[in-house]
Parts: sequence; C-alpha cells; structure tokens
Amino acid sequence: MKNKFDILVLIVLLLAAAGWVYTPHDPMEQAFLDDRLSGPGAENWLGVDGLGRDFASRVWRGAANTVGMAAAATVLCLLVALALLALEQGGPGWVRPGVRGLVAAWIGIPVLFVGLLLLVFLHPSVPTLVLAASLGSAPLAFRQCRALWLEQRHRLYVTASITLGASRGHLLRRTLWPNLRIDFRALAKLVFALCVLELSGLAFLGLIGDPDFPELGSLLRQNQTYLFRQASLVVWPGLVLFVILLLIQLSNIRNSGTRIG
Amino acid sequence: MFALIVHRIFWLVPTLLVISIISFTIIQLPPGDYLTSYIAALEETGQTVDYERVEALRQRYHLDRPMSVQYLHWMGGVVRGDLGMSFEWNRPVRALIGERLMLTMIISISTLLFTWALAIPIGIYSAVRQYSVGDYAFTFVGFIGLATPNFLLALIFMYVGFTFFDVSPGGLFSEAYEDAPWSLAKFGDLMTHIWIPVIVIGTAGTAGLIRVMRGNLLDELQKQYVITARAKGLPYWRLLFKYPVRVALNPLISTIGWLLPTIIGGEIIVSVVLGLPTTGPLLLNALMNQDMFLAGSMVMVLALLTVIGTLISDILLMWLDPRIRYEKK
Repeated sequence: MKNKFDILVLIVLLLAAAGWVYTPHDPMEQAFLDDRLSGPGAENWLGVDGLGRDFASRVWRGAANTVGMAAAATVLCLLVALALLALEQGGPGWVRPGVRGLVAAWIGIPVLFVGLLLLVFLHPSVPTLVLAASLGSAPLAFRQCRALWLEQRHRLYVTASITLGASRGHLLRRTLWPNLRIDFRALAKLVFALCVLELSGLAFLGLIGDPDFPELGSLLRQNQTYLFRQASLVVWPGLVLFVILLLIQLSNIRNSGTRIG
Repeated sequence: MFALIVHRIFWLVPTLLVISIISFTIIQLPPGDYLTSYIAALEETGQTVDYERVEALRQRYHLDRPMSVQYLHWMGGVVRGDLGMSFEWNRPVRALIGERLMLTMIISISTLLFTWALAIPIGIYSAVRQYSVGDYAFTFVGFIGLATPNFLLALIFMYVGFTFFDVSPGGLFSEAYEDAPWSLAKFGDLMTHIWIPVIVIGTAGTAGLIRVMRGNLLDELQKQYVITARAKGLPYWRLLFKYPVRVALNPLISTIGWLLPTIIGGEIIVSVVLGLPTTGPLLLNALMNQDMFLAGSMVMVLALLTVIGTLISDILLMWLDPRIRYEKK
C-alpha cells in the first residue's frame, strides 16, 4: 500500500466501523431528554439531538452503518458486474448483444431512480437500499471491468502464459490478477464512493424504512429541521460524509489508470 | 446526415413503445393498486370508505380488467394526450406535470450549460498546464465538488443564505410571481432564483466533467498527429482548438443522453430540500403511493428525455466529428 491516502482511508473506515463495537452512549436511548438540542460538552461530545439522544454516538454508529452498507453494496455490485462480464465474454452468442444492450439501457437510469423503482415492490429497508445502490452502480462497474479485461486479454504475457499451458485458474490468479489488481482496487474504491453517495441520498429521502435508523444521510434528514437552532446537528454527519468521500477520491488520484470503456 | 436523422427518429417510435410497456409493467408489479392501498389506509385510521366511489373509479380506469387491457387504455389516452388521473391529487396528470416539467427542463438545461461552461475551459486549462499551481488548485476544488453530496450542498446554501444574507434559497419564484401567469418579468424573477439549484445540482457533475475533459485532452495531446502538426509549424492554440479539443469533446457529448435523466435524478433530492416546485418530489410521492398513472407517465417522460438526449448527442457527434459522419454513410 504505497499510496498514503490508502492508509488514511483504511484508518478512517476502520475508525468509522468501530462505531458498531463502541459508542460513548447508546445511540438509540433517549437518556438526555433534559439536555435536548444542547451543544457539545464533556458528557456529550457533539451535543444532544432533538429527541434527547447522544449525538456523537449516533454519528459514530451512523458512520459505521453507512460504511458497512456501502461495503456490502460494493461487493454485490462488483459480483453483478463480473457475472455480467462472464456472460458477455463467455456466454452463448445470442446472450452477448443482449447483455450489452441491457447495460446500455441500464446506465441511463439514475441510481436514485433504480432505488425508487425497487422500493415500489420491495419494502423500504436497509437490504433494499443496499440492493438499489449496488444495482445502480453495476453498469458503470461492468463497463470498467470490461475495459480492463479487453485491454489485458490479448497482451503478450497472457498469450505466453497460455502457450506455456497455464490452466484457466492459474491464468486468472497468477498471470492476470497481479496486473489487474491496482486498477481493480481503484474501481472498487470508485464504486464504494458512489455507493456511499447513493445510499446517503436514498436514506436522506427517507427510504430506509426505520426513520430513527442512524445512517449519515438519514441523520441529516432527521436533524434538517434544527438547521437554524443547532447547526452542529447537521454539520457533523455532513462533515463525516464529506471526509470519507474526499479521502476516497484523493486516494484514487494515483490510480487514475481506471477508465470508462 | 439528414437521412440518418430521419432514420433515428423513425426508430424512436418502437423504442418508446417498448419503454412504455416496461414502465407500465414496473408500475403494476406491486400487489394491489392505489385504490386497495387507499381503502387499507382509510380503514386503518378508522375513516369511512365510500365503496361506491371506489368501485366507480375502479371501473372508470379498468382496474378490474387484465393488465394488457389497462395498458391499452392507458396508451390510447397517452396517444390522445390524456395521461389519466392522479388518484392522490384527484387531478389530470397532464395538468399536474405540465408546469413542473417545464421548470424541471429549465433547471436541467441551465445545469447542463453551467456544467459545460465551467468544465470545458477548466479541463482544457488543466490539461495544457498539467501539474501547474492552477491545475492542482482546480483538481482539488474538483475533488471537493465530487465529495460533497448535492443534498448537503443544498443545506449549506440554505444555512449561509439565511444566516449571512437573510435570503431564502428555497423556491424558484418571489412571492409576487408564484401564482402569476408567465411573463417576461416572471421569467426574470425565475432567473434571479434559479442559480442556487443550478449550482447545487451541477457542482458534482462539473467536477466529474473537468476530470474527464482533462484526461481526454491529455491523451490526445500525446498523439502523433499533434507532434506532426507542431513539427510542421502549426500555431499551438490553433492546433489545440482545431483538433485535440474537438476529439476530447466527443465523450462529453456522448453523455448528453444520460446526463438529462441524471440531472433529473439529482434534482429530486435538491428539490425536496429546497422546496422546488419541480417533477422530482411529485415522482417520489407517486412511486411511494402507487399513484400508477402519474408514476407511469413520469417514467415515460424520463425515458423520452433519455432517448431524445441520445439522439441529440448522436447528431452533435456526427456534426462535430467527420470520422463518425463518414463511418455512418
């Protein structure tokens, strides 16, 4: 991990994920009803929200939930993209143009719209949101994976490896993967950033089901009404969201080899 | 080129027909219909249900008939310009989305122009002056733009507007013009309010396009035809704008088709935050409440915009790049 931003991203994401294991107080318990909308203090680092809950705990748990959901959506998105790529490259002849046509139409649908359409026949919930974010980002991931694959498959080192009798597993693991790893990691980070953005957007619209669920987008929505009374209730979740996204973008500067196919 | 455009317009009809079937199927997928949900909601809150009216509505809109019959009735109406009734608003869909759609289009086109007006010159500058202070500064500002969700930016604008300038960034018109008929003065008033949503919606897109433009132009500048032209003594700026910039613009133009629905997608959240009277919040409510005619019509409109956007981008590409023109002949 030569890129210093990669290390910083890892630290920030681990720190955010720690919100599942530890928070100063219970993020759901209304333990500070008398101190509602109070500012930062020794007991409540970031103050207390409008329903008497410790806000630092809610932001921390919210960051953990956002990061966890985005990670799940990223894995699902990449799996869908790779499955589509396998179909498009190795499937029967009639499937290939079908996959390309599907992706061409799919990429024109905004992620938010995919989420809304999914919510028409699935209940608003965390899994639905994860599914929406992953399916919404899948066409982009597919096109990037395809570009990477097409670029590498006819290279001399691949031909040499095939000529030497490498099995399909060996070809993928030992020949192709070391050359694809950096670009694939950059792609995973790009998809992760997209998923964070989309998940927080959908949660901000209240499509997460439970209105009290701590997630950075839903925390912004819950506290939007206090914007002019206690701005810090909006500033903190917004700032955490911004820092996570900025660090991921910066960490991808050096991996700008990833391109849209 | 004219024959190609006519050919593409001819293909719009079957494309839209397929999209209309898909849109209608999606809207019909959830179990029950708006009336079933409406009855359930009334019964839950202990209110009386007027079953006669419900039955009349069911028969009027053929909700008791198979889906194919419902689709044919809906499409028959669409062809005649009747998009059906919104159950929730109890108003014709056409009237409901008419003005909102126009405002959405004004915001979308303004955002598109704003994005390009900033992204293209900055992208060119960043590529030509690669690794200069200006390039680093624009790159950093671009990353900040990419890392700021538009709903967060909308909240920041609201806070700064109210706290420091005593201005409300919400809405698209002053109170005096809200319900006034369209006039030059009303349009002028819209222009004084529209810049906030345009900046909020367009920031992330601008940042992204700067990166794309910079990357495309850097790729072009390294090609041999550029070196040859320079070696032959062609002035740098003339060469730059005549060849590499034109080629670098191609991927930007090819994204128009996706950009329009993407802007409308982004507009949904911003409109909810800033209270804008556009199609976004209407679509959100229609989808969540199974208001099928309203939702179906709006999905159709979005698809139509995508198809028209793709057509425009294809025509522009053919006009801009002779290679594409000759290839298609």
